[in-house]
Amino acid sequence: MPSQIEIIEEALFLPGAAGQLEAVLTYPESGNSVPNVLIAGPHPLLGGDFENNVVQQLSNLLAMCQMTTLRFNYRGVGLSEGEKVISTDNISQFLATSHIDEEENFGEDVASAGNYLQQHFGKIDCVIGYSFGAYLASKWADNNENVKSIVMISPTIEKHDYNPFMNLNIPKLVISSLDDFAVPLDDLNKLFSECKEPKKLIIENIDNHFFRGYENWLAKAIQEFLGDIP
Amino acid sequence: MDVKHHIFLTGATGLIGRYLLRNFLQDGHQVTVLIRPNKHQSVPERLNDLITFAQIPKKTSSQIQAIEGCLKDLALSSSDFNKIESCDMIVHSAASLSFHKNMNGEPWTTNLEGTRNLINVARKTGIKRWIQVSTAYVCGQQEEKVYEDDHNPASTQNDYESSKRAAEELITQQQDLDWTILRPGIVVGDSNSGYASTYQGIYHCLKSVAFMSRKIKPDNNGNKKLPIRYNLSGKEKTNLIPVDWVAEAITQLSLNPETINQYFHLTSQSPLLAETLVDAVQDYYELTGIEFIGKDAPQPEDKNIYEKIFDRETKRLGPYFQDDPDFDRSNLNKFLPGLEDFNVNKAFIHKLLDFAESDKWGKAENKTDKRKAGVDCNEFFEIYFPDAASRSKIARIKNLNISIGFKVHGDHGGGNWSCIIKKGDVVSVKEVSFLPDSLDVYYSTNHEIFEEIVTGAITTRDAFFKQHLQIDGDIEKALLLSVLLEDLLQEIPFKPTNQIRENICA
Repeated sequence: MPSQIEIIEEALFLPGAAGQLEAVLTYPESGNSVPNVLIAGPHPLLGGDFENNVVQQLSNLLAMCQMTTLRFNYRGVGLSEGEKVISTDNISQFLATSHIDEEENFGEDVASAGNYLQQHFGKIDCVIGYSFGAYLASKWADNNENVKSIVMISPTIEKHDYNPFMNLNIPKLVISSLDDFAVPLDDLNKLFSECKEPKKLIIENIDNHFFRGYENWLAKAIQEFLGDIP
Repeated sequence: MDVKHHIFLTGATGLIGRYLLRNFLQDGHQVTVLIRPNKHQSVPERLNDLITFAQIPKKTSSQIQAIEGCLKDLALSSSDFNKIESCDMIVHSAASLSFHKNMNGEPWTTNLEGTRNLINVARKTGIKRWIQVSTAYVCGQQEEKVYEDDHNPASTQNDYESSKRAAEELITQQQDLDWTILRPGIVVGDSNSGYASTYQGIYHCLKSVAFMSRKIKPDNNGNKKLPIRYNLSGKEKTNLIPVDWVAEAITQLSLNPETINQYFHLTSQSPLLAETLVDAVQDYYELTGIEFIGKDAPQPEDKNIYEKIFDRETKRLGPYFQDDPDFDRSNLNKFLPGLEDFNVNKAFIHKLLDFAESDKWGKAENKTDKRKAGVDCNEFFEIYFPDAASRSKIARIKNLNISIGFKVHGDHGGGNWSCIIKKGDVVSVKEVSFLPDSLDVYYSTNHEIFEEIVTGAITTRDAFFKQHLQIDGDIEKALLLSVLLEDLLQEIPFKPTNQIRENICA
């Protein structure tokens, strides 16, 4: 990655359905950045916030490749407004069901962050969803014609409904690790083979679900994918 | 054989090199090693690891000294030269294993330029005896038998082979060196323990099957099928050879002056067949489904995802596993008639897999941490944790039932702790010699990181993202629990008594 490019990380609050959401807009110092990218992170109960290694590193590395990225904290996470997600009730519910009621509402936060980008740039060139964020990203992209492409990293296909993803006509990139605890290969193969073109699947044998030390590799794969889109 | 040598050894931290070092030290020779620091360890730390591996008594450790340096950029000080001048033999086992030339110029930079640099050192220090650890594959893939003194190689198949071949030629052109060229087959783990220090080459392939085996759902009869059509007949030979056997042969040949200007194949006379390897691996992981469809059969057009992954891993192996030539061993048999041939069989493959699995394919633990402990782990796990947990969210989560293994490495204050939480109550925490396999989640880190986490200097997540903390077992539960631990440390900070004591004294 071109590390010599200086980037600006602009902390901001954007309007959300349950109050303001804490977010970071990152772009090259030189300006004139295209494309723009929204990044949705993992499940907040499993440590998913905008400082997650994949979310933060992708945000910076893609900005170094002349893109503008927006990452944000879901409601109740970090400084985002809303009821704190790390609560006794939520943890109890998650232990019992692997889900929490609030989960679907995080989708509204993706939409809010997307709206922010759209208002400033007219469209969203790409939405990147990592882990649980891949589920929210695919659901949102299905309802928004201004989203031009989608990247799903380690999608939680065993736990969430990815049917909306199947019908997306936009270019799709799916990245997973062979040893990913959350992504059964058979299910991923089925999902990918049944979803519409254009599509690309990358499976590598790296660090389970976490891509630690492979953030540069991830950014490069995404940069290439976006570069191939006419 | 009573003559004691002073050997300058390169590649001592590599798989073969560490066994050579052990053999030389145990035989009473002096050894000077060339070591570079890596991103995790300094030169003294790496040297310490090697001494531990060599299993020599502490007093014998004076037999070994280290010079910090890298072959491809060898800038030695005059004191380094003084150390090398007392050596009477160079054993050059350092090598880059890259098959294809990369951006840094490897494998050529290390294998050829590094050798050239080392020749200059030999010349400046007057060392004449040179043992070159090469590879049996310098002659490329041939249908005819490859003889040990074969000087008419078929075209080599990749940069690795070409660079090793070029290094051999460079050495043998030096009139002032008394060289011996040793050519091992594909070196894998120890014949007794399965030990390997790295997991390169064939291990990539074994690892991918290991991971795929965990992904396959059993059918109604409980059978797991890995549907891979493999473009081989199954009768292809491959010359795997255990590292301890290779090291023993190199040790003996190095110390025998009659081996000067001779080549030796360190290979097996009964190479492993692809079908035996596949059978061993399928048996180990209780799989079926890998099918040999013939070397000349057309590649299936409808490859499934497992085949694509397997293809990629086997491609990384390059030409190996495509049927090795017969390697003649007349010279080896003549010089080492007592060295028994090693039979690479199914049981040996199982041994390699046993070790790799127990070592989590190299991720089992961060091997050293010599820093002095400032925080007592016992105090954290056995006093703070049960008490603080009982006053935190943890106690209020009535469906929290979990067994946890904590492993803190380090010579000072490390250990293993097993902890059981039932209905939110910490019902047991105890230090154990070994963590059982039956726990729900495992956390593993070194003492320095442990101290930073429990004193709030970094979060568990930061440590995890930077790969300073490993988690295992039920990953989702481990992630959830690390959020809870982070929350606990914020809600009720841990104050180590030794720090309180220090504050009082100050």
